[in-house]
Amino acid sequence: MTNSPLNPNPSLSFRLWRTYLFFGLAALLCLSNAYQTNRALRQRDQERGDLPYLFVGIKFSGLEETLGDASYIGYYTDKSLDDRLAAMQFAQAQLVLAPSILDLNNTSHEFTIFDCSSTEAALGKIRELGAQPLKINQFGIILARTKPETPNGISP
Amino acid sequence: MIAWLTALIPYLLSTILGYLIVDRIDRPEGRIPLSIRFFLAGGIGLGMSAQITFFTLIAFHQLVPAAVIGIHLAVIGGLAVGKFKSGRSLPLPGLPSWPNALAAMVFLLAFIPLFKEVQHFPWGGWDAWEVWNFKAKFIFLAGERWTNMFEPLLWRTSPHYPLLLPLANVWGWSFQPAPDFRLIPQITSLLFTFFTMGLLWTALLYHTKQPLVVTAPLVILLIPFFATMAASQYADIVMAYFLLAALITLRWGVQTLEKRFFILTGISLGCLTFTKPEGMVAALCLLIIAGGFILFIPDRRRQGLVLVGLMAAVVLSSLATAIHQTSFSPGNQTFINGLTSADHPSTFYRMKLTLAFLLMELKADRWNGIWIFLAAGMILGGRQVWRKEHLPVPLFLLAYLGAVVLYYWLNTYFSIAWWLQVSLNRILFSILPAAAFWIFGAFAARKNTPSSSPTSDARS
Repeated sequence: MTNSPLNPNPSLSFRLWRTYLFFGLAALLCLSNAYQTNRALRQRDQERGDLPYLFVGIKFSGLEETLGDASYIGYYTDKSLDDRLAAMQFAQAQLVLAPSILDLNNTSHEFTIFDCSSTEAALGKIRELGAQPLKINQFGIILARTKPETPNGISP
Repeated sequence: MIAWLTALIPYLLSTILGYLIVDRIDRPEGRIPLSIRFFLAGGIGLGMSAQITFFTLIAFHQLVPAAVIGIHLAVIGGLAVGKFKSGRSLPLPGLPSWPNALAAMVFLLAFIPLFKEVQHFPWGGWDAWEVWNFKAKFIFLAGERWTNMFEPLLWRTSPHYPLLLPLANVWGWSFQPAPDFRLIPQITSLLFTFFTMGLLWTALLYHTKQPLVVTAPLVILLIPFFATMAASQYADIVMAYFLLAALITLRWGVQTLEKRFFILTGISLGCLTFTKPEGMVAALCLLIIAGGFILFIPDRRRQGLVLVGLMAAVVLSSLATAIHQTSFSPGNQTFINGLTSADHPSTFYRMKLTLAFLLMELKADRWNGIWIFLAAGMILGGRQVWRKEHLPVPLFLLAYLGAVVLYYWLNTYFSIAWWLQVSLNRILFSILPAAAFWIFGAFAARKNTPSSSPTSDARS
């Protein structure tokens, strides 16, 4: 037996054999993983072609201009956050509107965002609270003033 | 392309900073090969940049990008002057042998799927927008109100989580007055994956001198699930990096008993504590294991030197974590002690489910058999796998997974099935490079340690 590139000691044949086996298996696994990765990427490319990546937080962009430097904003929703899409929307809204903090279902702040299952439901709640709608966008998200403006523009 | 190049400036500065720190520790004569030093520099540099950003935030009560950049330049300048005065020249890389050049090419090609994955998820995964990037954006934009992000009201964003990843991203944005908030987190996740895989490869290559060990990073990188997780902009890849760096340098420390390697272990552990709460647990496990090895050093003087080096490095690099935990963190808002709670007790069923789920996860399809392969390697390797220099990794895996299982059992805030489903895969993701380092390193082992060869590994 000649010297191996993996083990310089030719007397350890069993050790050599299992080392070759290990790296052989590693190479096979690499090939299998490469094939799976290629398949997964093709599938993802196709998915993205059919439906481009959707960041639902985009529904809230533009509101920050009206909110100014409000530290806390109410976020009213009639959806359950146990629902994956509603929870995702809330989390992404928080990212888009940072550093304002969204206070879930608390309408006592100067501003409240209404993200309801229908525009009618949101407007109904706004009427019930006696709030003043300030902005509505094409996604049905309504920004309303739920409390009179404070002197420094920042709600407690 | 120009946006990408401009965005790379902070990462370049961090790598230079990391290089100079590693160089300062690895003296008088350099023992760490240039290739490994590069991958150590990249991650440690970013860890230090995050800490500098954190201390600047505290000093100025808000983010002052000019101060962050100024401190970076001052520290880099100071270290560079020290290096220049020491008279040590920069080691220049030589031409690699053709098998290694080929391995390097294949290694780089394996990152193409990761690039594509990053493009598929420009905003990252769920925790990226809910936790990590939210915190980064908050720190960047909130001015003096940045501490509002620790409000318990924001419990969904895990306000108690350490800040290394968000601060690394904030450092990235510091050069841009109106940044694109998507680009920097993408680059950070790509670079940490690159540094982790590069460190795994070059450390194995150094120990074994076998180009075949490139299969270790390849087999991991090409798992679709691993690529998705690495591209998700989560802190798990950051944790994986510092864990691997700590284990590699600890192995060198165990082999050579040189203080310098224990100092690098200490720095990696300190950064590890600032990545995630799991990072703190992992760092504690590893610190105890390192302490155990130090106890067995027969030479008392060397034992003392090594212990002081390790502890000083841990304490200094954990300072940011300590300040964050004691002065800012509101504590874990999602914790119920199952041992004392009558409503949510820790039951035997919960423990049984956790252990069963762990076994299920290890053989789940999404891992493409990597854990089964590593387990087979563990059996096939026999005694070789359990040699003294390899021991820190299996001891760590045992202690860490034990602690994790115990925590799942003890904290009964979440429904266990849901919690395991969403988090256990991340635990395994962050320990995978370390486990691969152990098994691959044991199989192709030769007695090559950093003390037995000069700095330049130009030929490897």
